[in-house]
Amino acid sequence: MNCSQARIFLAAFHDDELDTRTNAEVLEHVEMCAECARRLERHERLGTIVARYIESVRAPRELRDRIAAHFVAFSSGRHAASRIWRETARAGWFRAITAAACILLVFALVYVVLLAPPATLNAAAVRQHIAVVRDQVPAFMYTKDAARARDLALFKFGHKPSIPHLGDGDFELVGAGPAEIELKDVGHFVFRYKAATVSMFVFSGLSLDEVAGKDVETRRGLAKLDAQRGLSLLAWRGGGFTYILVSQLPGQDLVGIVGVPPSAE
Amino acid sequence: MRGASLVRQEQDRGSIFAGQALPHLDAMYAVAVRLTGDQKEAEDLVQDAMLRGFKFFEKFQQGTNLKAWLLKIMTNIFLNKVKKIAARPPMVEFETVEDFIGEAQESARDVPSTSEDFRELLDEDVAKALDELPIEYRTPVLLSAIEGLSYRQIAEAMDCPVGTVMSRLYRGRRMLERSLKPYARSIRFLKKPGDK
Repeated sequence: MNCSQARIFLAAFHDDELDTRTNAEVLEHVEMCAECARRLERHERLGTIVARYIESVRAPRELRDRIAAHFVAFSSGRHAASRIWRETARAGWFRAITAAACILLVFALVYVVLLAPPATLNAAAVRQHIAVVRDQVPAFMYTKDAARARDLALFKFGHKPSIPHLGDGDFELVGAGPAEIELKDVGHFVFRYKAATVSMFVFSGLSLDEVAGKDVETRRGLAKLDAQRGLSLLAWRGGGFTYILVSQLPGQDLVGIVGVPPSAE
Repeated sequence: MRGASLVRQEQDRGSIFAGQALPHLDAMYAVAVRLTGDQKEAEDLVQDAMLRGFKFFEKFQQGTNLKAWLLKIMTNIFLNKVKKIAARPPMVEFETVEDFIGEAQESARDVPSTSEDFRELLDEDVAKALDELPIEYRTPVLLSAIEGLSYRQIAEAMDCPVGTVMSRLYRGRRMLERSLKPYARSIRFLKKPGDK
C-alpha cells in the first residue's frame, strides 16, 4: 500500500471501520511512513476535537422542557393540548389547510343536507356480496357506525392490529370453528371464527391502488399486499359499500378483511 | 373498557419513549445546530426528529443504539430538506463534481503537516470551522464523532454508499484541519507562514 492509498483509509482506520486485511495493510504502512503516521495522529485529534465539542453542547432548557412536556402530556392523556401541537396550529401552512378544509366542509354539508339522495343500504346487494365473501374468507365484519369505523381506522398500516377489538361493540365474536356469516340486520354482521387466528386490518375509503404494495403486519411477520408475495387482495364496490378483502393464497389462513361503507367516513 | 386499555398502552409508550430518548437530546441538538447553523432551526429539527422517532418507535429494535437511530432520523429529515431546497434551481449533480472539488481543494491548499495541535481551541472556534465545511462533508464529520455510530449507519442516514462516507470523512477532516488553522494560529499554537 502506498501513501495515496493509505490516506484514503486513514479516517476509517482510526474509526476502526476497515476489514481485517485492509486494516493490517494500513497499519503496516503507517508503521513505516512517518508522514502518514502524522496524518493519522491528526485524524485522531480532529475526531477528538469534534467529539469534545459535541459533548460540550447542551440543548436549551426550553427545548428540553417543551419536548418533555409533550410526552408528559401524552402520558397523562392531554396529548392533544400539547404545546407542540399548538405551535403547529400557529403555522401559516396549517392555517391555510384548516381554512380550505372548513370551506370544503361547508360545501359537503350543503351537499349532504340539500342535494344528496338519502343513504339507503341495498340489502340485496349486501346479501349477494356476502355470498362471495362466504366462499372466500372465513370471517367478515362491517360497521356502519362512523365512530366505530374511525376507532378501527386508528390501526393504520404499520401498526399492529388489535385482536381485543374483536367482540367489542358492533362486533360479536361468537366462538371458534369454521366461518359462518349471517345477516343480523342490514349493515351489521356477526362473524364466527377463532379470534386467535384472525389478524384484522381496516381500510377505509382507500382504492385498490392505494392499498396494494403497502406493508402490513401479519402474525407471520411483515407482508406486502401483493399477489406476488403470497397474498391476494380483492376489492369491489357495490350497494353503497367498499369491500376490501385481504387473504392469503387459497388453502392458507385468512389475513384480514374489512368493509367500510363510504357513508361511514 | 378496551378503549381505555388502548389509551393506557399509548400512554405507556409515551413514557417509555421519553425516558429513553430525552437523555440523547444534547447530542442531537449539538449535531442539529451545526447542521443547520441556526439555533431556532436546530430546535425545530430536533423536535421533528423526536416526534418522528416516537411515531415509528415500534420499529426501533430495543437493545440497539437509540441515539444512533434518532440521529439517523434527524439527519434524514435535514438532508431531505436540503435536497428539496437544492432541487429548485437546475444544478450540477454534487456527486459528479465532488471528487474533483475534493482533490482540487486538497492539492491547492495541502500543506506539510506542522501538527502542533488544536488542543486549546475554543468550542466556538470549532463550531465556526465546522460551519465552513460543505454540508456533504460536515455531516459525516459530525456523525462520526458520535460514539457508537458506525459508517454503515452514517451511510444510511445520508443515503449514500459506505465508501462515499469514508472518502467524505477523510476529506472533511482534512478541510476541518485547514479551517481550524487560523484559529490555532490566532492563539499562537501554530506558526504563521514567515514566522521565525
